[in-house]
Amino acid sequence: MDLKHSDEDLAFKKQIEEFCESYVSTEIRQKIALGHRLSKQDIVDYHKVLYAHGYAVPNWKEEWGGRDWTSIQHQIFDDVTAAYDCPRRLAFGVSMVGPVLQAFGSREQQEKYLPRIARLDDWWCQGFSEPGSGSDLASLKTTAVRDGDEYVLNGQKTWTTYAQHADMMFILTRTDSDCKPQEGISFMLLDMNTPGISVKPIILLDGYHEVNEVFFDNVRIPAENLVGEENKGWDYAKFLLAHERFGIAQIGYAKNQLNRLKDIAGQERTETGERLVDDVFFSQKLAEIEMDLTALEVTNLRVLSDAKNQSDLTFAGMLKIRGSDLNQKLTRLIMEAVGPAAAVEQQDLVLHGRNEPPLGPDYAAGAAPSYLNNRKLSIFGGSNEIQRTIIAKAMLTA
Amino acid sequence: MDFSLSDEQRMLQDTVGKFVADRYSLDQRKSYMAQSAGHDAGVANELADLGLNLVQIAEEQGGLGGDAFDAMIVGEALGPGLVLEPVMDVMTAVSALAGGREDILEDSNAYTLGLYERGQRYALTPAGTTVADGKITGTKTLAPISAAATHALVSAKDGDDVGLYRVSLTADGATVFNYPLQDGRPFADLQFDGVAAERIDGVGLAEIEAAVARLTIAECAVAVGAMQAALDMTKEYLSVRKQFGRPLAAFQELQFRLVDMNMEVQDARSMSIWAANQANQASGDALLRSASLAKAKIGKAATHVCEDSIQLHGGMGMTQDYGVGAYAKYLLTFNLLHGDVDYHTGRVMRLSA
Ligand SMILES: Cc1cc2nc3c(=O)[nH]c(=O)nc-3n(C[C@H](O)[C@H](O)[C@H](O)COP(=O)(O)OP(=O)(O)OC[C@H]3O[C@@H](n4cnc5c(N)ncnc54)[C@H](O)[C@@H]3O)c2cc1C
Repeated sequence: MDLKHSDEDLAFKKQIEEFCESYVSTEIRQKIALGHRLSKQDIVDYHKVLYAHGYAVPNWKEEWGGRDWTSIQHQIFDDVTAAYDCPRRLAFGVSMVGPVLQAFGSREQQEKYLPRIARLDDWWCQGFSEPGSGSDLASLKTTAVRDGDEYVLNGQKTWTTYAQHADMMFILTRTDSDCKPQEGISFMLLDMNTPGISVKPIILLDGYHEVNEVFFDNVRIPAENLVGEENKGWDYAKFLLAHERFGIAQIGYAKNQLNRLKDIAGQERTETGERLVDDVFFSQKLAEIEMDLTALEVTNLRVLSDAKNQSDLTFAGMLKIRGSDLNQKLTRLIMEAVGPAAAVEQQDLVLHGRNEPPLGPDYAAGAAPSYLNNRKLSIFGGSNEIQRTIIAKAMLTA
Repeated sequence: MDFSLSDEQRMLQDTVGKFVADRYSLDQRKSYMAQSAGHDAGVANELADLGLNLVQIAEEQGGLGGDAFDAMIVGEALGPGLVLEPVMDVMTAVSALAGGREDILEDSNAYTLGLYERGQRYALTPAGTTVADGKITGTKTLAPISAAATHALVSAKDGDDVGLYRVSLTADGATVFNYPLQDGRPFADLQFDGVAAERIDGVGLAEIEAAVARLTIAECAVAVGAMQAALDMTKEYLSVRKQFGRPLAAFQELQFRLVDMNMEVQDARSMSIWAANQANQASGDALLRSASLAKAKIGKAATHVCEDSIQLHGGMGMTQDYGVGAYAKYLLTFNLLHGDVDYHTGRVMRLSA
């Protein structure tokens, strides 16, 4: 047993560090560091830089621009980019629909879409959840009825992240209702410019327009946009969710948050004038979170290093639960460290990058919005309650 | 021992409850927040007409002579409305800090409080606000402000002597920087640059700390009311929302979570009652320590209820427009004002029982 990085991995790490330092816009990194929101353009710009350096789709097959990285190298990439306050890659194309198309798409679909995803020429969104179908996704009702060479789509999706920016949606539709719910679902590709689609914003607790309702009124999808076989969509969705789990623990993000927390607690002074980082309560919390993070980091590496662990549902769920708990706790502690100055709402600054001096220290404005926004981590991607249900089942039926 | 309300107290509870039901639905509140002052001046006038600012003023000074239990009853009844006006600040702290001056007591709704400074966290000792030759200079933060505010009671140092001063907000050299808090309540920074300041006799640091302790205890009651509303809303949602062909309330995991929330709210209510009793009897360090025990305990409950009421609503809990989020934001803000859980736990340990 040896927990050291190999020389090769160390060289890889250095290469990513140099990339972050030299090529990623400092303005974007500053926004992330302060907990401010990125614009669409920021996200596109960052992706183009990744693409230019061959880092846009490292998880893909080499044929489509992927890199032959080891799991550890993927983790190093995530850790280093997080440490340098780089954004996370937009997942919908790169980590979701891209892998599905490579595994189940037709050659035409692959050639048509994969290069555009890699360059972020098309912005994709994920049309899974519906008002009546959240945790119980298989109950989804949006129907796609075959009509000649087309499907006609009716219904509604919701919580669709960044649908307002999207060119394309990958969508789960009901194509058969005379069977088990899971067996009548199809996976389709939808051009967001098709007539009959309307997108309505949902504003989150922090004031951010992040998600949307999307309505379909007799929307026509060419039959060639069906992925794989009709009524097999649930299998592809399960494959996608398994893929999404890579990096789900968000270790790099957590480490960066912990550093930020220590930094803030080093600047803040308590009522007695001592540095917050030296305060007995606060330093105890810092110590505890470091324990949690260390254990989780090693659990994550154990999963990455062993294919058997990777297919073990108890591990996947654990990384999701522990990772979201930890990141939520960290944003809460950052807000507590900032203290009363975090009570002041400065939405223009956080959401729109308004160019006015902030009230209070520069790290204050983003603290409460990040705390509120991160509540989503335990809700989406299979809520923590649903993860526990899955783990229990896996443990007890093994 | 008797936990029941007197007839007067029941009337007070009903009056405030009716006001909240009629004027402070979460939708109405949203429309008030959208106005330029961050609240509705007409509704604020109706609220002022209830005379809640008089509750803690002695009868011989024209008040109702109520005690901390009365303040608690008002606070808990206001909680579900997440009322934007600084009712508790005026009722408890302004009354206590007026130094018995009738000109202030008669017009207490026109007063805000400038007691905190940036960079000083929860400390009440003024650091950068000074008085010389009757003129005050410095900046105060997190002052609860309403459209009715014309004056502030501001803590400042004259040499080493901490005092409280009456200052006009419209005088030359006085600037008000308005902003909303995370929960939407209108607050402000108050900047004074050589503004005429009138010392309030008999009020020093100890009196300021005691008044803030009373205010903190009263705010705890508001938090209990807000937590109860968030809990009720969550219970209702679990009963109505269906997944997997059943109401969410049918899943035992969620039943237990609801039960835990309920226990937090009941403990918080008990703590609020205990603290009000202490506010009626205790003074000095004993009062401060009681306020801290209550705020720390209720602060923890507030975080629990804030986070689980969002979680149990799933995506709905994350939205700005659906009501439970308004309570969650109020509860997080509650913890960031007048000392957080660590601050108060530390004070409980420091001050001997
Ligand atoms: C910010 C954000 C972004 C999102 N982005 C997308 C997106 O881009 N595309 C997309 O398709 N979806 C997206 N989602 C939707 C997300 O996947 C759902 O919110 C999630 O599946 C939960 O569904 P729900 O919100 O309907 O909650 P519900 O399923 O109604 O759950 C409510 C609560 O009940 C619990 N619960 C439900 N069933 C059980 C059970 N059987 N046992 C125990 N507890 C249970 C849940 O854990 C939760 O706490 C997003 C959500 C959010 C908040």
